[in-house]
Amino acid sequence: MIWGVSEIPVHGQKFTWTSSFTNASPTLVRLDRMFCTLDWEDQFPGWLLQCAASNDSDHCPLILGLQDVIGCRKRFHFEAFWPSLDGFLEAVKEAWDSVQPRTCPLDTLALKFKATARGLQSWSQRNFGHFRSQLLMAKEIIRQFDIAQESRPLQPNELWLRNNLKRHSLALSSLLRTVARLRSRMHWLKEGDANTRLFHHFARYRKKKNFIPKLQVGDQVITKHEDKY
Amino acid sequence: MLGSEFDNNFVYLPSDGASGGILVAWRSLLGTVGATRVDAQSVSVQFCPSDSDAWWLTCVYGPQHDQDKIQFLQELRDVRGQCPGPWLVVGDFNLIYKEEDKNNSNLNRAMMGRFRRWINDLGGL
Repeated sequence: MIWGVSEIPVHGQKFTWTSSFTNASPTLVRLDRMFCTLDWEDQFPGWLLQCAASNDSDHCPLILGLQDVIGCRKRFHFEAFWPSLDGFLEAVKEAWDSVQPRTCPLDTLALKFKATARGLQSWSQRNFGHFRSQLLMAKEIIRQFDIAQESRPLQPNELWLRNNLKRHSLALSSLLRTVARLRSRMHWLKEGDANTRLFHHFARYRKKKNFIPKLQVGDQVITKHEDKY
Repeated sequence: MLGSEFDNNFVYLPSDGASGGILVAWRSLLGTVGATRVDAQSVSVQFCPSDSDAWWLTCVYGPQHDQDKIQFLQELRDVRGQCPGPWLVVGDFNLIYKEEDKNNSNLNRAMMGRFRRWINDLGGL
């Protein structure tokens, strides 16, 4: 299923065609669709497909926006793999201790929680960029050794370095996969079962399903992203 | 009828009476269009943005009769074969592939199976 085209889900509507406007219970069918390939979706990750009302057609127009889902403020998520990483406890301690006690202990506690959440988030962001570039560098060096090996035998220290880098990049890849898997919430897949791109695809799909195109507050309809908070 | 920003950039497939017919029009500022093609039930346009990979848009109008539907799916396979790279295919397929696509149980399961196979087979080319 994943390697074929995948359907772009319509937000908030199931059917796009009606057999009759006068019949109280017409046949409703979803005849109009959009499909895309995985690489198309990689190129336009911000798509959002919505249905509009039609004036006199028996079909509903489909409107595909290409930049409609913009990054939103991130909610705090505690990642289950954090405690297994070096520096986790230090990051917690540093953030926790950064708050000076207030007169009300509950205030202090609330501020400490807030600071810890923020501290962990930036700690994780710093480390992630780091993992990714480490992995890329390790792979590049391994590749250079592989190329060199085609024209000359590798020295013992070069072999040692290449093997170490291979072990290291295996561990990094597995960590990145774990992260992607957690994002996708695909619990039915066991760790290491599928590739990272697939997980990202599902994570994006989930994000899209959770997207709220508009909110009604009193008699006002809010569609701008920043107003929705 | 098109706005001035379209500069007469369009490709179309004429309608058959009141049904069918496809018009694809694009604004000039979208960038260059590499190629276009008009097939029996679809119109395809290749967009070549300056800042990313070229991609194909195929707009379809699926036929009503079963025999034509089989040909239609084959046409889309052929189009895909000649239009590699990122692909978006949109339109009235006149086909469904799952039960939830219809609010009653009057279903053509053989045709649903064909459509589903088309979905599974395509892409990744």
